[in-house]
Amino acid sequence: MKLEEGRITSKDSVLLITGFLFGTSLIFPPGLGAGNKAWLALLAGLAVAILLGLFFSVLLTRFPGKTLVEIAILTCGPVFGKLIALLFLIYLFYLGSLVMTNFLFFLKLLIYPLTPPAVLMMVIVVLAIYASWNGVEVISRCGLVLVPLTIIFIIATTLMLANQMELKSFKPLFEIEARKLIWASFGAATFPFGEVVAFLMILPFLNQPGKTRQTYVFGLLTGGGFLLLSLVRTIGVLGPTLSDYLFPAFTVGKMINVGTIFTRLEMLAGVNFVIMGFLKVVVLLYGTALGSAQIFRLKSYRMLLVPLGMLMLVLSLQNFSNVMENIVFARVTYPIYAPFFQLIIPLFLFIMALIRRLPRQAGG
Amino acid sequence: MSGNITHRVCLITLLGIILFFAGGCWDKRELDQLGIVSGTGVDLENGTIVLTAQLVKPGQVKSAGSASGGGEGGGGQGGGQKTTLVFESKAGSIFEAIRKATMQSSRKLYFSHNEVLILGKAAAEKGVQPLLDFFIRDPEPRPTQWLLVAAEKAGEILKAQPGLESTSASDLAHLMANSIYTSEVTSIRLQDFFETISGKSRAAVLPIVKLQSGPDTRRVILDGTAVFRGDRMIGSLNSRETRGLLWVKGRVKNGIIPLMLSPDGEMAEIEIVGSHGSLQSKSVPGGIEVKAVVHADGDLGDLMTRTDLVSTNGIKYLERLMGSAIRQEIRAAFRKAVQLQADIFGVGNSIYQDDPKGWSRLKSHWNELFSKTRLSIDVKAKLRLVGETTKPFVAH
Repeated sequence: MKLEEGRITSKDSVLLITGFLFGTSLIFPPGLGAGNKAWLALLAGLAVAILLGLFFSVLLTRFPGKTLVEIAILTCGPVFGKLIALLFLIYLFYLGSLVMTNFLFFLKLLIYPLTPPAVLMMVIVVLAIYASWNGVEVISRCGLVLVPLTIIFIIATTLMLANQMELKSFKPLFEIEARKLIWASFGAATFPFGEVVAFLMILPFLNQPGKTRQTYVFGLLTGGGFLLLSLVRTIGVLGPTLSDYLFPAFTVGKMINVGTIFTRLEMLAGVNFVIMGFLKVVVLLYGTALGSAQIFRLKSYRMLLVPLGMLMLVLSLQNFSNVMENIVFARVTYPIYAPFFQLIIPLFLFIMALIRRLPRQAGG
Repeated sequence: MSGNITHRVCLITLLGIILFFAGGCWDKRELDQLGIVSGTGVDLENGTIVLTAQLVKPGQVKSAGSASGGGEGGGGQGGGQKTTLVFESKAGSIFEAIRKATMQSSRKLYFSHNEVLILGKAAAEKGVQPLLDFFIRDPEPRPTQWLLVAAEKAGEILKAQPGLESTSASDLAHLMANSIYTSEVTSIRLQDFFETISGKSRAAVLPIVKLQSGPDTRRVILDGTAVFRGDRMIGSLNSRETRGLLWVKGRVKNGIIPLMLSPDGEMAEIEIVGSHGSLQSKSVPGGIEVKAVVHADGDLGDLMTRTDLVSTNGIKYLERLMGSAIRQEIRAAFRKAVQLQADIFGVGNSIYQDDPKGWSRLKSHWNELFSKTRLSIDVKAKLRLVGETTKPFVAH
């Protein structure tokens, strides 16, 4: 019995990974702690993440068609394996709620000051449940439709801000304390790049399992590349004041002015953020629901979507009592908290598989 | 088949629910609920903040436009039909003053369309940090609004009669855009000011606006540049000094350079058509060496002399004069900056950008160092075109 019958193509998955990376990072640029050297941190983080992606694809290729949850159960047995899988799912679930909290602060501050937060989140969650309900194929098609649109937006805003970018905004090019840069790079590696660990629940459904590695690497490169473009645009316009703004990408949107005709286009950034954040929530909600169904041997993951979605919503309202807690969490706590799930759990499973010589050949 | 129908009913119901929630109308604010602010002025009077907001009357703007366009006359503009309404509200703090305006304005002030933010002289001299924080923190005001200093009270500027535009704030916004035609005034956006003042040089400039009595009424006019050290206004540049600063910043795009050819009023005028400017600074024992490199292109605009200078030699001669005129402007600006101990040229910032380690040694006594800066100026002035004639109107 299969919980997920759908199959997705490598090309769609590359776009889905790209969109997933865009998620919250378009508006909260990664590596911000490094000031106008954030692009350096982003590149370093991306490099680390590509190694991580290669490792994930090795793991997935070893167990074709198996999600991380199934791999855990296979390698560590039904009790301990399920415990590990559960930890991983809690990470996905919590990450989903964090993405929604980011949403919340953004929408509440800049676009809908009077709308109750629960209503804003409800719209996103209902859509996410609907998309996950229809399975991995529909999710990947969401990416196919929405991500190219976002890429066009990124390129368009970059072109429209080209008249305001200054080379001197990047100077001094490399002056930064090593400690600060490493920390910022580590931050970028865990948010957003390391989060592609969630695709250990999605990529098993590739129609060509041989393309897993290619999908991971291309997805990371495309997403990282456009994030870099968007970051360079933001730094070029704002210079060192970049890290003084809470939502620098939105602020530069406000500054677009092409011939006094194209102005006030910050909603382009806003729309980007909302649709990409939706994509990220969908992937995480789907991963959590599918994984839970696999742990509890349910016949379908669909009945978990509504309760999980609602719990995610409630948690997102409770995560932080103020926006600075969110910032501190993202910059200080998260880079320490995330590697356990992004690296240690998959690595542990891989080592267990090596030790136990799994998977055993069906014929032998 | 029945399953299909159930499916459809569910889908339509769901769509209906989504439609209900996703309409995005919760925070709707219609035009007739908004008090659209076109210009804001902040003054300081005996420790109280006086906020002046110029609100647009959308209906009047339209009728004024059609009256002048359609030629219907009837005293639409002359008859006291003002296109703007000015509110003044006083409070101890900025935001409070803004909210207090709702006690007199029927509509809540809406700052997203604020074009100019004017600081009164007294407020600017006291320090702008407490006044400007709101305008970059709050989501409504934009980082692209123009920032100016009033020669006296900011409120008076906003009460001035509009000129060709519908509001005096809009007039000012156009004047800011026009500043490229003379390059003798500068135009600074809120974000630019924020960026410069947070830079290492900790000095910035803003244009000064004042009222001038015209034939019929008092209108706004730009006049000179306010110099800020830290967040306080400490002096001003006149128009020549302003252009001297802009040459080095590479922001001179247009303008006229009058060249005195003889003491009895013979002149040639050069129209600037473009320039590049840059600043190279390095720290040497005993001070800072700054080299300003300016490349300026101009056309001959006018010969107020009978001497025919339209020849290769004449043009060389004019180029020399043009170069020295530019040098004089830069030198004047620099002298003023040193005298005010305000690093408006961004020397400190440029040292930091090229040599951050060196900067960390200098920054503690930067003001003192800056006043001992040696300036060398390298100007390459080029005359390209001479206009449509090849000799003066009346030659010898």
